[in-house]
Amino acid sequence: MLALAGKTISNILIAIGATILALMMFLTALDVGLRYLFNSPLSGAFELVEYMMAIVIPFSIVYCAEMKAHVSVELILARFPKKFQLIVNALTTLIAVAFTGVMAWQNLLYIGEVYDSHLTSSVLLIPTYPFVIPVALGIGAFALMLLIHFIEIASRMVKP
Amino acid sequence: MTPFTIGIIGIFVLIFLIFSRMHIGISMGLVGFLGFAAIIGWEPALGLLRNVPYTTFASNDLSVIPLFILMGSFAFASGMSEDLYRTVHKLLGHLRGGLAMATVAACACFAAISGSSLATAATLGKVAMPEMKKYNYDTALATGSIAAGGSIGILIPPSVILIIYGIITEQSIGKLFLAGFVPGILEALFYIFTIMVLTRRRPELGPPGPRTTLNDKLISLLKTWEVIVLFIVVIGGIYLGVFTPTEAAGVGAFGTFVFSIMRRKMNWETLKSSLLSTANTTGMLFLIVLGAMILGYFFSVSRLPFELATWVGGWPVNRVVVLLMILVTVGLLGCIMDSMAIVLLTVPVFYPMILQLQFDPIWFGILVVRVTEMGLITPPVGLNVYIIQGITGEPMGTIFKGVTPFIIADLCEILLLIAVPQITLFLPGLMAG
Repeated sequence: MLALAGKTISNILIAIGATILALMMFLTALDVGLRYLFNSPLSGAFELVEYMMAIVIPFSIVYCAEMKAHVSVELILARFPKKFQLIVNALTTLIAVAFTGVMAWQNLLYIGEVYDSHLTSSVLLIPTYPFVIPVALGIGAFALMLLIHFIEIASRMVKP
Repeated sequence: MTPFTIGIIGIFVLIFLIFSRMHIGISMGLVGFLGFAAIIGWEPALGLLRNVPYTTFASNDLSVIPLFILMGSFAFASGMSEDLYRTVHKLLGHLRGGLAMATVAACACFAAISGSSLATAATLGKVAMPEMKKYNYDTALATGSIAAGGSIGILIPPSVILIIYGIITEQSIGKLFLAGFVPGILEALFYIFTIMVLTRRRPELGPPGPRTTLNDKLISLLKTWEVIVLFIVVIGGIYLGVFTPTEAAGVGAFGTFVFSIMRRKMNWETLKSSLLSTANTTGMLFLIVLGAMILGYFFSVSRLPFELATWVGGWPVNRVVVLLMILVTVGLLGCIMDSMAIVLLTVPVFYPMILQLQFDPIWFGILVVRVTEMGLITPPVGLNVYIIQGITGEPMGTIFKGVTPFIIADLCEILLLIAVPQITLFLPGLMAG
């Protein structure tokens, strides 16, 4: 149930993230093209790319967690018994859930902080706070993915 | 406890967490957060978690990473790498060991439009392995040359790791790219020479392939024009100052996209899979980058790198000894960790030392990356070896046996790069600004 919810969230987020990634490529190429061919660069392309990155990157992280494409070291732990490996795995995952959970909560607070500061981009004057939302959302969803992963490990520990 | 002691404890906790198989990015972030809290306090440490993710992600400078990865994904989907291999195959295939040499040369060329060595190894593994099988190549030599050739990708620009190095040390990415070029080519030549030596001593390892006519060679060379155009536009543009690296990456990705459409290889499915695989790699990298950023704050308040630099600076030994010690440390980490993580972890610690000893930062960057690159093919965790194993199904032991001569070639090249810094530095020296 939770796993299905996680997969759905990840699918939605990555669809948005991948679309913005493609737009980011077109925008950068268009900016360069307009500047060199017609001598009229897009104003604000620089900050638009920044805002796009604020969406692409956190959503990509959620996707990569869903794909479980993790970089981790499989060296010493692999020599221990399976049961012990599972326990260590469960523990580290739980710590990771707690840490990313705190980070998501802090970023949620950050949305309000940036909103109150009335921060905007420098050329197009687009408010910054809406772009903190995907960061908070992405980290929150990442924490959820790790939680789902933890539940998987825990259930494997109960019935081997 | 002094901040310095907390810094040392932090490093040990970090190593422990990484060995407990916690994700490297999360381990770095967690240790950075706790260490920062221990030195400065909880409130500022929570502030770090609040600010750092947004400022790290919403960065125009770092957008160069997904864009270059996207360029590589499009190049992968477009079938350009297969054409490259066929061309070099026609040029070198008739030589003894020629197919293995062609693999290495094609890897070097593909690296010129792709920032990732894993993609290079994976692509060439699919095309080159069946050919070498057909001509009865020794399995160890065949798989070894693919795994080793794939590792060239990191050094030849565009290179994601050099971008990261440039950002953390505030060095010019353009200069780093140019500096990586000659050592990357040299690496390919060293590998080709290794194959020559091996097949001269034991010709049965790599029998010659078919001869082709000059006409054939020229026609196939023309087929690679897209790769040549892309490389000239992207790297030439950065060199001449026409583009910033971000713009070059955007133009390069767009150009590769257009070429894939012209080759009729781009459809909805390939577009989707290219974007998704880019997102996957990008997500993996940025999680590590995020962790490293938080860890970086902790390191700087602990003053660990600076204290180490001052301490090492006072040693009564030649500065080259210190450099070798640093590179050996990086190399050992390379055996167990991924290149990106090593650069993000060690460069902030060692960089002040390098400045203190007045080594050239660009040269050091190339050396560090070159050494971590070797880690892709060394046991026990040689990522390229795993990839080749996955594609070819050959036993791990055979592939590791196959890469051994290439590891020796690696060591020789690294020593040469240390002995003659001009190999690395003359090209960036020519760059304006």
